[in-house]
Amino acid sequence: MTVFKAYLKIMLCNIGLIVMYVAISVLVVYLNTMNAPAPSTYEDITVNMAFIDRDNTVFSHKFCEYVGSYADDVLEVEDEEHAIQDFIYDDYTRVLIIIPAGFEEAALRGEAEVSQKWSMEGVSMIAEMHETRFLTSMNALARSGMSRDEILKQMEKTSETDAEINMIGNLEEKDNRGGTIFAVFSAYPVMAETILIVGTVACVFNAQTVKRRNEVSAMPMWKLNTQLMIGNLLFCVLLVAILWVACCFIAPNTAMSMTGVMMFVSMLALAMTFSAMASLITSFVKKREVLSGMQTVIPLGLSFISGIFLDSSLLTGEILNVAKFFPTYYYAQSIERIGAYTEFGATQWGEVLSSIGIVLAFGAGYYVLMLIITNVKRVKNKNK
Amino acid sequence: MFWRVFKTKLKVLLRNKSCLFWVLIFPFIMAILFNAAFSGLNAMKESKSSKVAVVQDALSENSEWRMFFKELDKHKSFEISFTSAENAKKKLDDGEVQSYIDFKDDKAHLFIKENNIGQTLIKNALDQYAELNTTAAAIAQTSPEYLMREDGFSKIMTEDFVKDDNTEHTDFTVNYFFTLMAMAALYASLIGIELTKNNEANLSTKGARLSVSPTNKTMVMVADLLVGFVVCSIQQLVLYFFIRFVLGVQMAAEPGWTLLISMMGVLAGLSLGIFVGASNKKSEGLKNGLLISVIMLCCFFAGMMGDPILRDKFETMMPLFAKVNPIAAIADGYYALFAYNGDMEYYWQAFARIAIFAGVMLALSLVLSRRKRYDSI
Repeated sequence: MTVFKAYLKIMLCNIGLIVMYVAISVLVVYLNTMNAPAPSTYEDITVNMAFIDRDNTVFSHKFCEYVGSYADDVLEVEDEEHAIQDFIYDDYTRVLIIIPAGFEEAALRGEAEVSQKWSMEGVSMIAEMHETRFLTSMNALARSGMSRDEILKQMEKTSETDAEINMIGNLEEKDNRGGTIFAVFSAYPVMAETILIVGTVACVFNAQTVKRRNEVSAMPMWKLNTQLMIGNLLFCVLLVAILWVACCFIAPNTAMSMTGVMMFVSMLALAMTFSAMASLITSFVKKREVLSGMQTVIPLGLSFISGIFLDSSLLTGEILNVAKFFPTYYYAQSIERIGAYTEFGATQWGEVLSSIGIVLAFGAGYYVLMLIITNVKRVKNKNK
Repeated sequence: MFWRVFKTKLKVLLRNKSCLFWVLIFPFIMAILFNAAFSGLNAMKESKSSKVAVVQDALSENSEWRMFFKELDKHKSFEISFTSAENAKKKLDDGEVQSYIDFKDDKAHLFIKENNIGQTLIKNALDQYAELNTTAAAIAQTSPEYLMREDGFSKIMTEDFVKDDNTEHTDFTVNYFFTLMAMAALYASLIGIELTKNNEANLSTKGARLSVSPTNKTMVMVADLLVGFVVCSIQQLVLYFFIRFVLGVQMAAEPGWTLLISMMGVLAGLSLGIFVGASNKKSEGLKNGLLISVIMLCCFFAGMMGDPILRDKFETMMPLFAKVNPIAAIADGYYALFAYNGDMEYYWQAFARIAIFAGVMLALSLVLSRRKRYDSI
C-alpha cells in the first residue's frame, strides 16, 4: 500500500491547514447555531421594542407598559438621530415606537396616535397589532365620553383580557434546529477541506516527474488509482467523524439520534462527491495557487446560492434554478427535511437515500468527466 | 531609479496571475453572487399575508364572527377564506393556508401546523376581537348611544392610530457589500506576502539576490509597497462603482471619502501581509491559508456570513474585538457615509481605528524586516 502511505504523508504535511480550517469552521458553525430557537410548543413570535416617550404622562406609561409586555425584550435607546438610525439598522427584529408630546391630551379627545420605525415590515406588523389594540380601546372609551379616571380604570380591565382561544397545534417542530443548522453549515468546511486535501494529493501525483515515474513503475495504474480512492474515502470519513464529534458537543440531542445518523451519512456522501469534484478540478489545474483559489471560490459561491449560508426561502427562483445544477442544493434540502422528521420509517429512509443518491450521482458524473478529460489529454500527448 | 524599480515591480505584479485573481477578480465574483443571493432578502422584508381558512358551518349569516372576518379580510395582512371543516383541514395539511379557525359554542379554536409570523398575527387578531368586545361592553353600560352611532364604535375600528415613520437607512443587506469591500481591501495582504517573499533573503533566491545587490533595500520595498497600494486602490474604486452603479446597491454617495477609507484599508492589508510574511519561515501556502482564514474570520464577525443580526450580537459580546477587527472598522466607515448624512465624526473614528491597525502592523513589520544579517541561508 505504498501509494496509500504516501497519501497519508501528504495529508499529514497539511495537517496544520486542516486543523485550522476545521477549528475555524466549527467555531463559525457553533456561533450560527446560537441563533437557532427551537420551540416545541406554540409561542407568539415576539419582537424587540424600544420606546421613546416624549410625553411622559400616566397614559404614555400605561401604553408602554401594555405594549412592552408583549415584547421579547424592551431595549433602551437615546432620543438622538444617530442612535435611532443604529438601533433600526443593527437588528431587523427591532421596532422603535415614538410617543409624541401631547399624547395624553390627544388620548382624552380620542385621537391618540404613535409612530413607529422598523426595517422589516413583518416585524413591524406584530408590534403594530398590540399598539392598535391598546389605542383603539382607549380612543373608543374617550370618544364615548368617559372621564380620565374612568378610562384608566377600564384600560386596566381591558389589558387583563386575553381571548379565550384553545390552541390545538399539530406542531412538528422538534429540538433539531441547532443540529440542522450545524449540518447545513458544515457543508462549507466539508467542501473546502475536501477540495484542498484531495486536490493537493492529486497535484502531487499529477506532477510530471511523479506521473512519468508511476507510468513506468511495476505497479499497475488501477492499483495506484484504487489506493488513491481509498485514501480519499478515508479522508472523507475522518473529516465527517471530526464534525460529528463537534456536533456531539454543540447539538448532542441531534448528533446521538437517528436524525444525526441520517445527517452525517448525507454529509459523507457530499464529501465523497466533492472529492470527485476535486479530482476533476486537478485534471485541468496544475498549480497549487490556482487550486487554493478554487478551494475558496467554489465552496463560498455554492454555499451562498444553495441555501447553506442563507435559508433557501430567502433566495430568488433564478438563483435556486442555478443551484439545482450542484449537489449542495440537494444536500441542503435533504438536511432541512431530515431535521423536520418525527418518525424514521421506510418512507423517510427512502427520501434520504434518494437525496444521497442524487448527490452521489453528481460525484459519479464529476468522476466520469475527469476520466474523459484525462484520456483526451493522454491521447493528445501521445499524438505529439 | 525609484520609478524604474516601481515600473518593473508593477510589471511583475501584473504578471502574477494568482495574486491578481484574489485581488482583482474574486471580489467582483463575490459581489455578483451577493447581489444575486440577497435580492431575495429584499423581497423577504415585505410582509406576506397570513392565509386563514374559517370554517363557516357553525356560523350564521349575521354572525358577529363572520362580520369580523370580512372586515379582517380587507386588511393587507390577512387573506380570509370561508370553507367547510374538512376542506379547511386539507388546506392546512397541503400548506395552502397557515391556519384555520373552527367554532364550538361560539368560541374560536385556532388550528396551526407551525410557529410563524402568520400564526401570531391571526392569534393577535382574535385577541383584539375579545378585547374590543370587553371595551364595547363597558361603553354599553355608560354610553350605549355611542355604539349605535354611524361615526361611533364601528368607525373607530377602521381608523389607523399607528403611523410608519421610516426616514432612516434601513437596508441591512448593504452591510454584506460593506464587508465585501473591506475584505477586498484586506486581500492586499496577499500582495504583502509576495512582497516579503521577494525581498527577504531567507525566503527566496530573489530576496537573497536583492540583499547582496547595491540597490537600496528600503527603496525597493517602498516601490513594491506603492505598486500594491496603487493597484489595490484602483481595484477598490472600480469595485465601488461596480457595486453602486452596475449592481445598483445603495452605497454611500461620496466616492472620495469611500476611497479614502478604502485606501487606508489597503495599506492595512499590505502591512498585515508583510507582517505575516516576515514573521515566520513557513511555506507560502500555509501563510496564504492563515491570512485568508484570519480575514474570513474577521469578515464573519463583521456580519458577512449568516443572519445580519449576528453582527450586532458579536459587537455586544466582544466589544474590544469589534473595535480591533479591521473589516468591521472599514465597514463602519462605509456605514457612517451611508447612514449619517454628512456627520463625519463616526467616519473619522472608524478611519482612526483602521489607521492604528495599519500603523501597528507596519511598525511590527519594520521591526521584523530591518537590518537582518545571515550567517548562512
